[in-house]
Amino acid sequence: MIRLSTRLATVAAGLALATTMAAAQLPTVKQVQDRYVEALGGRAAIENQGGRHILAIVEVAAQGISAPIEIWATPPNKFYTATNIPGLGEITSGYDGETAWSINPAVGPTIMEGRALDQLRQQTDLLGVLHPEKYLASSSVTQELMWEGKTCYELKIKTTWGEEYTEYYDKATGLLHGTARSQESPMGALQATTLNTDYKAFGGVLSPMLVTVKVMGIEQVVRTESVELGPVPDSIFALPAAIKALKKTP
Amino acid sequence: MNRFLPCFVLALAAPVAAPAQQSATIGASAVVDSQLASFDLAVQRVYQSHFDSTFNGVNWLALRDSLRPRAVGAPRDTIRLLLRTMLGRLGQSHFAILPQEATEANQDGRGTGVPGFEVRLIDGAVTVMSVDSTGPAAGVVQTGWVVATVDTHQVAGLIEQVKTRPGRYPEPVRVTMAVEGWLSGDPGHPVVVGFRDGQDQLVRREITRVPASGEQVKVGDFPTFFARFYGKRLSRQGVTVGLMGFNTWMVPLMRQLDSAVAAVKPVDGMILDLRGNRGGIAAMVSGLAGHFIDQKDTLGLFRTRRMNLAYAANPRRTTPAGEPATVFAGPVAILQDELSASASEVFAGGMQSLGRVRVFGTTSLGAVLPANWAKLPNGDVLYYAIADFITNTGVVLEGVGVIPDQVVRPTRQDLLLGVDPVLEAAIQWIASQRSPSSQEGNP
Repeated sequence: MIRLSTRLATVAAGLALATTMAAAQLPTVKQVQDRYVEALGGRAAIENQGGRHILAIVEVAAQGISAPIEIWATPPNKFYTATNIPGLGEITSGYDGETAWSINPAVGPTIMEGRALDQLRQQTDLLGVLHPEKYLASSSVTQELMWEGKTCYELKIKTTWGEEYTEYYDKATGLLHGTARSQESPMGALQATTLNTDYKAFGGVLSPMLVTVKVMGIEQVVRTESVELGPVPDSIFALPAAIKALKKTP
Repeated sequence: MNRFLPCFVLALAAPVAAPAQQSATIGASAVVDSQLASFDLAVQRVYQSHFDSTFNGVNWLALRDSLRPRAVGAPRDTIRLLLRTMLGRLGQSHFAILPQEATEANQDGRGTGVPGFEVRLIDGAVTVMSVDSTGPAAGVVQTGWVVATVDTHQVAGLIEQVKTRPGRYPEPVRVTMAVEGWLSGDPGHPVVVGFRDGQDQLVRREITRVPASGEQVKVGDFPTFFARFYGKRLSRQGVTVGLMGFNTWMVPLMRQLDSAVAAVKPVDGMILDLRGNRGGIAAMVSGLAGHFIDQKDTLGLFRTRRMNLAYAANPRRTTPAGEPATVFAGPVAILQDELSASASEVFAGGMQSLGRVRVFGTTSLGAVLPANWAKLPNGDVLYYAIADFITNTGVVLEGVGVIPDQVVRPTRQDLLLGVDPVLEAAIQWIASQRSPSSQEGNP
């Protein structure tokens, strides 16, 4: 019994030491965030980003689904997307800085609200990395680990709206390798893993050319084919008639 | 940075409710290996995604271990048989192997020809339920006639055979589907059908099959659907109703549904004819329900192994033209029969559980599991359920079906007289509901 206790104490002491050493080696949240900003291209380049028009392909390879997507975006977080998937019709979505919406022919027009809107504001904010306090109430670097093929720093995040999720930063490059979070959808919250790969610079700022989303055993890939930088007319972000009408209803 | 992309993709995923993940472990290129790889991938997919960790009482891995030796070096037909055996043991709907040739057949039209009439088993006889007024059977076949033979096939023999063989689905469904299979074939090819007419005289009709009518809809590697819709106003029994029917839940029909709902108003009631509608894209349930429900009420839960998701109505407060609109608040009837399945049952059962509709007809199929599909390395497609569905009131519909509020069974005599008793019962109910308040929702 004594022997066992001694062994347990030794193990506990060892674990405590290891934890302390590991903790000592971990960067601070600010260091991870600052390095991410630098890795993307630096504060000045991010601040100077203009609009962009992206042509991409969304694929669900296992099911033979493939469709082009057009995306227009301008800082901080105005965006408009349109895709036409054979058999499923044209799906559009957007955010004009005030109203986030989507029109899916299967479901009809919808206006996002609540946590879905909070998440969308954060995820579409091209300048958000410069102002993490805008969305993050608290965060901590919890460990270094292998995640999706790369050694990453794991950050546990708590948002200003109370959501908790995890971000993974590539230790080697400082770039955001991915996230694991409960993503709001019209059917409820879905546990989603997002992987960002093949970063490429546009206007001095890196963007992932491949974004892979895994949710409910689903793997969908969005592959950016072309990016054109330049001002995007505000008319692109104007609310569609159906959304304007929806806003007028109680 | 493109951080907005994931959000968009997820928005895409939810309505599709289908995409699947390709396994990275399948890389064999030899023909024989692709067969074994298909077996392994299909088994793995079901193992990972089945909503019930007990696999409905089946020891899935033990079953795999017992059958896998037969898959080694086996040809595709054997792989299909093995997988169908395994999937069949689950005893649940929406598990199937779709042969590659079936998923691609419609590219050249093979197998998609129909004679232009529909049948159901009524009082023990396969009876003509409806005749397409623009099809090859128009004018030569009448509702209420009984199908006795199809080419060399004897319907009486089929019925006896089905009675003696156990099956997951009720006898009327299995008989009807078997006869449908006999009647369909290549467009341009004739089918010879022996009928008993209204006087019980044997008549023989040679009918040249035509391509199935409707808009061809193909989503990824899934087989082609032929989507048909009809909508009209009917004035009868002192009321005016909007009657809409569609044969499958395919998104291109949604714009017709949206337009029809807007166009038929004002009416005293709406009737949705889901008889023979075997399902499709489940996201449409939210969109259609929103034409009749003014709140984001939940029709039911989509219950996977790890999470619950909701089929919630999306209140449709705009017209297709983008004008503000009012959700229809009057009485809504749903017509269904034993071939109404899947998304039709999610809709009917969900709306019924909210007390928003009255369901007429016979009990639906009870094949309601939300499903996904994935192409296998050998070209076949695995269709597999990923969730259970329970209604707002906690009712499980799988294997049970939606029980009508008012059971109405058409008789042969009804059909010979050109009467649709299920529709008439719904109109009568709407007439009974008529009051000033029933029209408040109509603009």
